[in-house]
Amino acid sequence: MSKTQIATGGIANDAVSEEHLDATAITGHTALAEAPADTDEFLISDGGTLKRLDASYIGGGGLTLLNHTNQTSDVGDVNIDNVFSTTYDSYILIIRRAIMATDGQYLKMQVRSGGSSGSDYSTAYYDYVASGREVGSASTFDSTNDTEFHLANGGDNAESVGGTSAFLTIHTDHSDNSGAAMTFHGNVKTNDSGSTVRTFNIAGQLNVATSTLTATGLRFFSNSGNISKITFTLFGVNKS
Amino acid sequence: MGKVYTKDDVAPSLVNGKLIELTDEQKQAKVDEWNAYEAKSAERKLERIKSIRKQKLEATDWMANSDYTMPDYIKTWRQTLRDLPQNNTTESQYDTLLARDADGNLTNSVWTQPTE
Repeated sequence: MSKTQIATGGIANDAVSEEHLDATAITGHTALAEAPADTDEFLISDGGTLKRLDASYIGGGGLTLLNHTNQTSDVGDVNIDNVFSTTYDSYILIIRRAIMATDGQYLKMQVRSGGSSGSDYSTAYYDYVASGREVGSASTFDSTNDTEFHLANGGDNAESVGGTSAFLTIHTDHSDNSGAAMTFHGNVKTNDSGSTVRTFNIAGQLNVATSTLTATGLRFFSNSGNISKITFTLFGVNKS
Repeated sequence: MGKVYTKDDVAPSLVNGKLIELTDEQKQAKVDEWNAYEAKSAERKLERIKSIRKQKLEATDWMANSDYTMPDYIKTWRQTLRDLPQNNTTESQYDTLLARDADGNLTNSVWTQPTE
């Protein structure tokens, strides 16, 4: 843009209005490209008075998106690393349309450790209980000292019935070495191989202290065969 | 017997958004795990049948109270339920017992509590 000469004596008070600002006043600057720090500032009009506002007051919600994965072709398993940290103690995981490649199979979940180049934690310390119902009868499953969490006990690979979906709250006690490496609880919708709908209340614990294992990620896989499709979204629950 | 997998059936892993092809050794480990599960297909179906049977029997347990005389047709039905494992021993028979209609209801008449 061409430069405009400012009159001697400077700009009069309240003389700069919207027509004097070009969009490059914003677009010409480097993008932050990440969530603002608490002390970053915005310029706002507070009832007609311009004020600066710390980003910490914006309150972008209690949740921070950590991972969104939408896989639509066959995979042997799905791994997400480096999502659990001391920044959060609790997480919300939403699983949508998990379709196993083979009819009748179901989704399992394991903890990963080791940060960005994580590895599966397969030691038999996984305990879980699921209590639920299908049409006409109760349906339950549980296990202790298993090598992974089971999120269902059957499934239908017909996409028309929506596969397995879940809403899970996950906790990691990273800030407390004597706490559990990972626990979760929530609800699961699934099917049997004949499309019969099932629902479960489910809870699980990885019976290992944080001092022994630091959970940093998750792995999802089928009990038998590949996963055809899966979408999951993981949020960290902000502490403040 | 359930499905039998080979290494060709094993798809890549999705690791942090990138597809990673597994080594032959890793594929074989998965195939072994999957096939071990599939080999117990009939066993799991029998467990499911026993679970449903337990719920059906429990629903009529109250009829065995001392202040009630259990009707003979209920006694016969309960015995039929108890005999299911010995009278059904193949996976296809298990499938017949576990069949459901489009609404998810069990269709085999053995599960229906008889009426007088």
